[in-house]
Amino acid sequence: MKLLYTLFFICFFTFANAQAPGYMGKRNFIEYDLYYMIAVGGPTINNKMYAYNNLGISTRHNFRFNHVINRSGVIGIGYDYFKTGIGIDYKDAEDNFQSAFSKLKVTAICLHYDKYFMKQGSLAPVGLYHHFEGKYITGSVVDEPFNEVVQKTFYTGYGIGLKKIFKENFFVNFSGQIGWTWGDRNLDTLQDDFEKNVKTRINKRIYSHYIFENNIGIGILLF
Amino acid sequence: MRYVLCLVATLWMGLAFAQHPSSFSPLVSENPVPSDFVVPSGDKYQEEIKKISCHAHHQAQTDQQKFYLESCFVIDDLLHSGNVLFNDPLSKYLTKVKNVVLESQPKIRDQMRVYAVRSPVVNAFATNNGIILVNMGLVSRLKNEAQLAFILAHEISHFTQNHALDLYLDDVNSQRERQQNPMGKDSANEEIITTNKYSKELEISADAEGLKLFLKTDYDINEIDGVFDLLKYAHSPITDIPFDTQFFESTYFKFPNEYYLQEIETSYGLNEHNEDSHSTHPSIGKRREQMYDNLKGRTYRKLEDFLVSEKVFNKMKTQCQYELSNLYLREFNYYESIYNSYVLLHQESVMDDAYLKKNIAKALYGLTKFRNKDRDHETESSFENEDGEIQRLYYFFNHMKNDELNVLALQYAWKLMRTYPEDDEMKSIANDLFQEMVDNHYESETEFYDIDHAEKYAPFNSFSQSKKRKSELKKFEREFIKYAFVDIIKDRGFSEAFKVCKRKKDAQLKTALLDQNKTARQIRRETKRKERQLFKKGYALGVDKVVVVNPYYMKMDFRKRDTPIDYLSSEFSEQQYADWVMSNAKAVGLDAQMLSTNLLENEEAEKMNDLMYITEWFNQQLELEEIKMRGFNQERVIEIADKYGTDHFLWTGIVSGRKKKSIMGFLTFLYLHPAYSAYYLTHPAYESMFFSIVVNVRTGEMEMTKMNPLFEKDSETVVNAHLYDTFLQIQKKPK
Repeated sequence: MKLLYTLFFICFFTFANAQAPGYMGKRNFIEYDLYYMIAVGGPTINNKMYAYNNLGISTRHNFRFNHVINRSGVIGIGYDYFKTGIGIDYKDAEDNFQSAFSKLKVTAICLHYDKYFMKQGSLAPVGLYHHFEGKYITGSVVDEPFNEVVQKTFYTGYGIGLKKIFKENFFVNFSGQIGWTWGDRNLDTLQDDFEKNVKTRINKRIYSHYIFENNIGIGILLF
Repeated sequence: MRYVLCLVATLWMGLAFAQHPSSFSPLVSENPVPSDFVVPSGDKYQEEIKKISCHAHHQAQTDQQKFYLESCFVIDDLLHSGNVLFNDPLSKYLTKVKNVVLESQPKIRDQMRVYAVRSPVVNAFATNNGIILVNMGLVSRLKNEAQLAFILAHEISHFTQNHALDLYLDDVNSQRERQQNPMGKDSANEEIITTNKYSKELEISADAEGLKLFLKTDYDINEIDGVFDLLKYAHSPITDIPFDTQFFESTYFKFPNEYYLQEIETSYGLNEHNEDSHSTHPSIGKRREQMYDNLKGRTYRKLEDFLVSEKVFNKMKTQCQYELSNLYLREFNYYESIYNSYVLLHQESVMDDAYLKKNIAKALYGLTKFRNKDRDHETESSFENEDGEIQRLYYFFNHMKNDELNVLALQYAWKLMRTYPEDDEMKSIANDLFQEMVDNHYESETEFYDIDHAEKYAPFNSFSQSKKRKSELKKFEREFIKYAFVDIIKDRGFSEAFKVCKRKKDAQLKTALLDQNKTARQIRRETKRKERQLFKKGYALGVDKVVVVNPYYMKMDFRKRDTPIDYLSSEFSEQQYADWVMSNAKAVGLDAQMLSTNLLENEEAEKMNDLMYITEWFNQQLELEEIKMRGFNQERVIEIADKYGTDHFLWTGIVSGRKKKSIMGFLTFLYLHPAYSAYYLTHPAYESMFFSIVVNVRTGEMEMTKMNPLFEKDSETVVNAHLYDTFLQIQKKPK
């Protein structure tokens, strides 16, 4: 029944027009974006070997809900999810050097604002736009020997994108984005060298994952 | 019996009065709309290409297809311009004369159509699909029907001999030859001469063939010579009468003698044997001689000047002469308009002196507005370029200073406003002229003399040779402008108008002073801020109903240098665009009505007439916007606005072109964004422009001017987004 209701609402809002800015009055849309880039400075989940010279592709999944606020502006919230690999050298209890590799799971809550290039004929949510984004990122490593290390950080980013509408209700999105993760200033206060080391590695990994990305996405206009 | 006689007399008087041409009304099209105006150009093209022989060389077939394509669309553009009339009394009369000329050839007679064109230029021309277009400028100068018949016979020959296609093919082939032999490339000048040579041959041939056709009729052959005279004086006014120096003067308002040209140039008319290598037509002398050669050895009797109707001919000729006054105004040819009206006002029977005087007032208004904005070079020329009596009029205005012209125009318009108080257009012209005078020249009524002063000091009656009188006369000449308003200065509202205009001027100066205190940077910043606001929030017109005029769509292919316009797609897109316009207006909840030449039906001649006036008015508005002057025929446009129940008219359209993709662009995207580079590679590149202009026809203000470049394909969704946004802004209530 729940599914039926959901389907009904999606259909209703998809075909109903509101008299407001947005594509023919439709102001809200959802979007899925796949971010990708050649892995910079480290391994990925597909490239488990901890070696800098191996080429890998970093990917990230992003789901967004957007709302057109005026003819040139869109705000939205989003959710990021990706997995990557993290490698670390450490000394074990016998003081021997060990190398370990683990999965790093990253999620983020995002807020963004898209400003459309109206002078180039764009009209929110169609056309060329500036993308400003802020995220609250959580990275966690759960495998042995790391136990559960969780690192949280902030991100700010800027990008340029292009949305093209097709079949009245669907669109594709292309964009490029650069961003900066702010790290963790409290790391120096940590007593545990191992934890400090792992968290530093997580920060670096997240930083290099987010620094420059391209994306291709698809979306649907709702209501 | 007396009663019956009285009744008859009353009826006769009534009818006579009704028939008396006391008021002029311009010619308009009447139902039914001919198929030439209704059938889409694409369908006409499909019909035309059936004429191409399948045995012809492939290249020849392609060239002919191209010709038919371009000609069908170009001719239809002209037919839909609003300048071509159908089923009006003039077109009907022209058709009757054409039928007389083609009496012996019924097949061609049925094929050919004749329409009148609202243009002051002395010209007639035939199209390849059997349409003859005759300008009003030509009809206004004809002496009789026989002359018209010869001109039609000449044009018919162009059609029957297929001259338009021949000329096109000749031009295309010579261009091709030049491209194939770059070593023997002619200069641009030689190219023109070569092309024109063939064109001249065709003209001579049309004259000869036309003569054969003409000789089959009972029209007087002697009149052919008159046709060449008509061409010789084509650039001259309809009649050459002296320009009366007192025309613009009154008892006290006299212009100095130096404003009047004493002797005019006598080199009247075009030189018959002028050098014609750069002209598409042979010189008149050559044509005349050729005609004499063709007539040599023929015996002919004196025949008729009129076969259809002398009365109708004269009526149509007069009608066209009256139309000219307004047509000249439309083309900003103010001197010609004044002289044409002047000539008609001095004829024995004047059909409508109010119309003519109003045209003069409008022309003076136009001259003043252009002069005050230092743009007189666009509407005026030197008297030295003119021939005949019109030179005096040119000389008179050439010597008049800006303030004097403004005062004269205001005086003329004010008097007319007083005579026709119900005329709103004259009222608005007089008010605007008043404002112009206060803004630019005279601020107070004290700068002008009233009747008391004039009667006391003006030496208008006595021209004594005494020293005292001479000095008085000199002073009077020097101060002549101060006597301009003697007759009207005490009119109700005249001194109040001065005060109102002064207040308006002071308010404007105050704003200007405030702006002066701002730095250039501040002004720039303010302008940018306003622009940003407009971009962000858009317009808010608060309009409930709009009339959409001729939605426009042009598809181009910038990769093709010689023929970038895709006519067939453009026509299809235009029809589609009209649908999108209406569906978006409906989606927004805006009441929209379509007024389009492409969507006319057989019984919609009235719509065509509305389109004619509204398009003409809008084109004038575009030209006059910068000098803040309203287009003429305002009264008719307001009538149309009342008819459709809205003052807001929308002009909207798209120009879209496919362009070449750049390899550098692809490589850049490949490096920066591989996914987009794949999209870039697989999708054609486009550049489009979307425009929407909403005009309040009552105030003449352009309330919305949107020009959006679209750096993408003009897909339905993109166009809909912009149309919806436009209608939303039209409907949005201002805060």
